Amino acid sequence: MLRFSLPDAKLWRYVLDAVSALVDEVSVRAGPDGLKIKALDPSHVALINLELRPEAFTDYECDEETSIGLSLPEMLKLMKNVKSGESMTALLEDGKRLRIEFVGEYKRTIRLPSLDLAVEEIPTLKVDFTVRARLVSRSLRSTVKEAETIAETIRFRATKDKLMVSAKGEVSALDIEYTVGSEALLELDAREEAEASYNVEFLSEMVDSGYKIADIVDLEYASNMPLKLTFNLINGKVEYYLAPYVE
Amino acid sequence: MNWFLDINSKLIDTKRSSRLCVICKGAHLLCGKSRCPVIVRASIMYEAVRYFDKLDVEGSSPPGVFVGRFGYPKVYVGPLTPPFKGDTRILDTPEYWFGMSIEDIVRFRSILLRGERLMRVDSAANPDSLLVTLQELAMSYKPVDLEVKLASKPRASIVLDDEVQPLGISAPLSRIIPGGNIYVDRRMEKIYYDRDIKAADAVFDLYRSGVSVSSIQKAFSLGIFGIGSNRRLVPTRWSITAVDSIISERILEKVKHYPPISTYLLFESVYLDNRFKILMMPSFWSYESIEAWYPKTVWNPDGRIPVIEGDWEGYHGKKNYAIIGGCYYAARLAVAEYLNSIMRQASVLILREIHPGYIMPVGVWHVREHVRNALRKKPIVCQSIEEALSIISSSLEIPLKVWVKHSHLLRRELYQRNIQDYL
Repeated sequence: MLRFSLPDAKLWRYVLDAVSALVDEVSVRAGPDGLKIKALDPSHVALINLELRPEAFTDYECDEETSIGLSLPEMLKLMKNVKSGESMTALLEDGKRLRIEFVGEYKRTIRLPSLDLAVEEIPTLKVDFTVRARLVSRSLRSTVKEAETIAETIRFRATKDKLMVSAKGEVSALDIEYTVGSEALLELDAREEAEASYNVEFLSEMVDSGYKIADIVDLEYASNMPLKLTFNLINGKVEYYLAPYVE
Repeated sequence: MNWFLDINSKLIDTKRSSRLCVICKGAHLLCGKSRCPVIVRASIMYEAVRYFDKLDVEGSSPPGVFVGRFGYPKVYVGPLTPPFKGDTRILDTPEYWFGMSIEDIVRFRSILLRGERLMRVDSAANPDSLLVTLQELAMSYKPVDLEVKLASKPRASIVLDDEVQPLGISAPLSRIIPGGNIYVDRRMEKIYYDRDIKAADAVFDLYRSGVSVSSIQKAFSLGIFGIGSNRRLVPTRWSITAVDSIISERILEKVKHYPPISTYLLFESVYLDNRFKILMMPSFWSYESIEAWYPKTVWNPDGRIPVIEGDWEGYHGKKNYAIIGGCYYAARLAVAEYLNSIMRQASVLILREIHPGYIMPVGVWHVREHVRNALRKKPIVCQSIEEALSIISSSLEIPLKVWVKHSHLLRRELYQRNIQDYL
């Protein structure tokens, strides 16, 4: 038996959007402690780890561990018309079919098969992050979007009181500085002067979905090591990991 | 001798090279090409034009049709016919041409008379009797005997294009009279009468039932497929790429469900002074095609260094038209067919060096058939990207460093780490 309700169906859409930034098909694991998604993108460069605790829902019932295989493009197509303020209730029927009811101005029910997906166990990443920055998601998003227009990679460099972001294209270059105490950078903890580059396209997909979920993002990385973005929800979180680009 | 002057004026690209040609007159190869393109074309044209000095040509169409693109949405449409009868299939079936010399290809293309009639592209939705005959011709699986009545005598010209195979003499068409039955391919006919199937679905159905890519392209250009009222004539040039693109996209949907290859596979091939390296890397689907045009080749006549251009797509495919044009899709089709046959996916990089022996463009079929041919050979199996690259660089002239600079996939392979490295 799996059943969960949300007061605002838009949250569910944003959560699925966040996953579809990396994968098309995903297995959602449901247990007494909530819903979890962990998935690697097809090229194995990025990973998403998503958790929604039972308290995130107005109603959450799950008596045994189960998994739902979702085709995200299919599901998101059906959720395009979701309006804010619409509530939703999802129910897994016979473990094979997901039924979701949306209630707003009128009631709408969608049904989708639960796909039989191979579940790959992904262990936890072992990274000692030496830099942790707390940023306004909207600011990080515009920085990344700007970098994306000129380059393939984006470079981060942190000192005690500054986080510097740069991008170098074939003809032009971009430098952005976040200083501790500025409006965009809320906290910075740098144990070393860390420098690392990442694929900007991946990062752009991540912040594009993430900034809709949370106003604030925690960015962690270390020299030539993966980068981690955490978008915290009131009762859950979306974490992204991105492997570095090392020339 | 009008036609000869006409050819000459079309051939000479710039003032500088025309001065060179005047001094050289084909004797010294001052332009750096390995054969004189002016002489190759003119001598072939001279041979061909003798056969067409009349208003009435009888011959067996391979079958062949052509739809022009200038003046769209009003375009020139017509049959391709040689001045003789028999099994003429080879004249318009690029699948047979791999291995032939440029001279041979230009020679037998120049023997095809192109009758032309101006038509609106939407006339395919409601074809008149001439267009119906042309459509049947395009659906035929055998050469068709035709009597081609012309409004005026043919004018010599030869059309060379990067996408379309060379085209010879043309003349305004007054009518065509088939000399016997037209043997319409049943698979095509079925789709012709199905006015509810979408063109893209029709293309893939025919491909799966074994119809050759070039036959599908001909039928596609004559507006034989698609929802009845949406049927359009499609310029040959566009139809070639449309068909390559549609078929490869459909095959790749399937390929993306296969597991990745487990080692690096390298395929090599040389033809028409074009060197191809096809590197398949163990990863999920992505594709890149890069070409280096040497100075003195068709599209880099006056350069001093090779001009390098490429385009790529990731797992989710391509949204914009590839900047290098139709050859991107032609090669992608050959690659998709190969991956489908081994039931694996891969990240595929094509490096192509075009050397000066490629004196004139012969059409995008050359890339499709060249890559198909390369992939029929036994690959060199490499255990690492470094090993594969060292083999590649030993037989390409452009330094590895330069390829890496232009290649998105190579940079990703060399510099982008994986999540697994940190688990």
